[in-house]
Amino acid sequence: MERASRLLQHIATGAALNRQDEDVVILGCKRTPICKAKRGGFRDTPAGDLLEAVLRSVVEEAGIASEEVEDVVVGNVLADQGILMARTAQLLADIPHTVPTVTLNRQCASGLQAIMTVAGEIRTGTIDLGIGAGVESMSERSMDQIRPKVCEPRLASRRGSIKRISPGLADKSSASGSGKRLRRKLTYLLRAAKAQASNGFVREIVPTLSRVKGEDGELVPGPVVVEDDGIRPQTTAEKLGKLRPAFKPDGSTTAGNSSQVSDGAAAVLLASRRKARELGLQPRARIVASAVCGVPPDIMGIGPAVAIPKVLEKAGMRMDDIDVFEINEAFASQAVYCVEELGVPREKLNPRGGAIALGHPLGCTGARQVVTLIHYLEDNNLNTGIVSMCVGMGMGAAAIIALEH
Amino acid sequence: MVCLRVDGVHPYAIAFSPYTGDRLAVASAQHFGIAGKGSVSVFDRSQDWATIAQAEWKDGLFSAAWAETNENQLLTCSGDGTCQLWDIADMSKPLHVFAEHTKEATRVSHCQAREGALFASSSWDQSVKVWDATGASGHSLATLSHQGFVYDVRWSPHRQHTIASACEDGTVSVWDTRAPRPAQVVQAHAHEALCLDWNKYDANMLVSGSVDRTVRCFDLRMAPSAVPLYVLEAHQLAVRTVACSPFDVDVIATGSYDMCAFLWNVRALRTAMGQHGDTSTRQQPPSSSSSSSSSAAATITTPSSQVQAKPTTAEAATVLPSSVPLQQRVLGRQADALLPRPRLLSKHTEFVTGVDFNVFAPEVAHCSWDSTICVHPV
Repeated sequence: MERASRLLQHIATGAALNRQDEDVVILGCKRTPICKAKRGGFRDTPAGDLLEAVLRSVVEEAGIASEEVEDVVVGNVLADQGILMARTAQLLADIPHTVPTVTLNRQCASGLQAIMTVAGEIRTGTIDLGIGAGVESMSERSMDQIRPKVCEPRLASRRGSIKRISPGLADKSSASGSGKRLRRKLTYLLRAAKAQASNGFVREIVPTLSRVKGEDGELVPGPVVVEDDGIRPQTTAEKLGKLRPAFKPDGSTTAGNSSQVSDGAAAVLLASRRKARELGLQPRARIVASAVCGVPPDIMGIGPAVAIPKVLEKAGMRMDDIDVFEINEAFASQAVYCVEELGVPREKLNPRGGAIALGHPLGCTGARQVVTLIHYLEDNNLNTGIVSMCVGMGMGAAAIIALEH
Repeated sequence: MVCLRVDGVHPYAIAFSPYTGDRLAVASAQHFGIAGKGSVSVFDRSQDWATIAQAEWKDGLFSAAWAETNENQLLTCSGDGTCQLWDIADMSKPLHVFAEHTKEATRVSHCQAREGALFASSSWDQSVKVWDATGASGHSLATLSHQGFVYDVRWSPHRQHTIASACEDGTVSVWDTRAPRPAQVVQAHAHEALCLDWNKYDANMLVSGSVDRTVRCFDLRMAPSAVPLYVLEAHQLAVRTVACSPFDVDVIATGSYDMCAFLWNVRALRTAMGQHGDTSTRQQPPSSSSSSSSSAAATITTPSSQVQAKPTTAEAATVLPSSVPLQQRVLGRQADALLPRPRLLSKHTEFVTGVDFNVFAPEVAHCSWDSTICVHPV
């Protein structure tokens, strides 16, 4: 029966190649350094400058003509009139005016959503090649400035119907002050420091020109920032233990176990496999699957615990198939809850540190995680990773990305 | 267009006679070649496409080739590994049976040189064998070992001792039949190479088709570089058969598991690449002779006796991956617009298994498992 099996093999291979042509692949990805808001390297640098740096960088890295880009989708949370910032940045990055831009906001998932929106445009044939990016300057605009104007009494009445907090999440939260947990937290914090010390981030970072206030208050070119400046290699368990609760006097959430408030941008260049081949470009990774979900707003932190099983099901994969989990740490409590709920092995979690160590520039983070994930997989000869995060107002998002070998 | 039916059998290969454009040989098998008998038929246009000769064989017949030395002799090869020499005047039994292959024999190809009556056969036993077509020698003259199933073998129309073979490992190899090792090996495809043919006008150019759905053209002077001159993509499934036109250097016919028979004309692309030849030094394929001013694109149209030296691996690594064909290296985006859209000859209802050009008239024939044989003017 070798003749029959040969024939079937020929047909199956061709059919599989046909399907692969429809794959959305990643041709390049870059990020700026992630810097402390208001105190770090980008404290006076407008968001648009950060975005310009990564947009220019991914196009140059791929070696394509910038007019090949058919859409630029930018995730951003805080910027007032973000589309003006994004469109300006695109033009300054020498991506011609014929290329359109759009901004979107899914809170902390905005950067990932931008990538997935481009992937969706490629799937539908709207475009063949595009950039999904995320940018946030939390120096320019802080979260306090964007309180929603809603009818407070009506919202309050709704809140009453939502179970205050899941017992599991509460338990994890209360335990986060213990010495054991502090030490574990410390290992994650130091992963970023280790990665930085061993130049683990060098490939993914585009050195970015900062802006500083000149004598007359005008912005003038400042130093070129080449490194994340939120990483704290000197941190000890004792120091973390001494931090005071940030929200409630008896609470466990401190500055030491929350994500940092940061500035940064990241961008990912995507294309259909067919387009990549036409351009003679070798895909670095492909989008395997993505998912978004909603969860009760009060316990928005559980997002990944819902989104990750959902995306695994869509991909027909199991937890064991995933080599690396990039799960955003908005707060240690929610991250720990999700990790334990899902059973993520510690060595597979945020191997180069998460948002507590690196920082969490809201709209940038999802794209930043994709950039870090791809570089980590490449550096360690691994194949498949998940990017996931919780989303303010009760949502979650997750995507599976696999390297192309 | 003429369409012939061969009921009850599934054609695997087709061959116009090199002596008269009126005769067409078809090798077929029962039950799609998976099991059952084989048959070979000869149709004659001058007799209103009547079957003028027919024979059966105990296993499926997968290929037919006319002897270049005798207009009445026809070679076939079979699923049982044997090759047969037939006289179409008396098809009661073969003149000779060549039995050495230990697995399915996939293709027979007759030497086109005036001297000697030789033919080559390819087989799933990972070999190509070279035979004395008269059957005078009791055994094969040469066995050329491959690294996988050999799906196709074609005798060069230009060089007496040169053959090319297409292998399961995706390679296309060029052999001097007197030497046990290949003269050149090109990693033509990432998946199985199923078919190939020599360009009839350029002794260094050949095309191959693969499970990867593409048809690729290679200039052997660039070997072992696997950078194709161009890549033709339109088939949705494996390319099963390919033939180069005897009338036009730029015309190719292909047939695929996707049930389509296509005709391609690459003239616009080749012309544009020739024009860019002198200015495209940056996009030259790997070549260690950096002083050589003849660009790779120019070599397409200007055959030179100078054989380029092998590139070092370091040089190869600095250029674009070999999957990027020369068309894009030389022309960039312009290549897209110049890539030919194939002309659909026929949409069959089963796999297209064989194509062949008539050397006497501008026409192409193709056959399919759907039991039809079509002859198109081109």
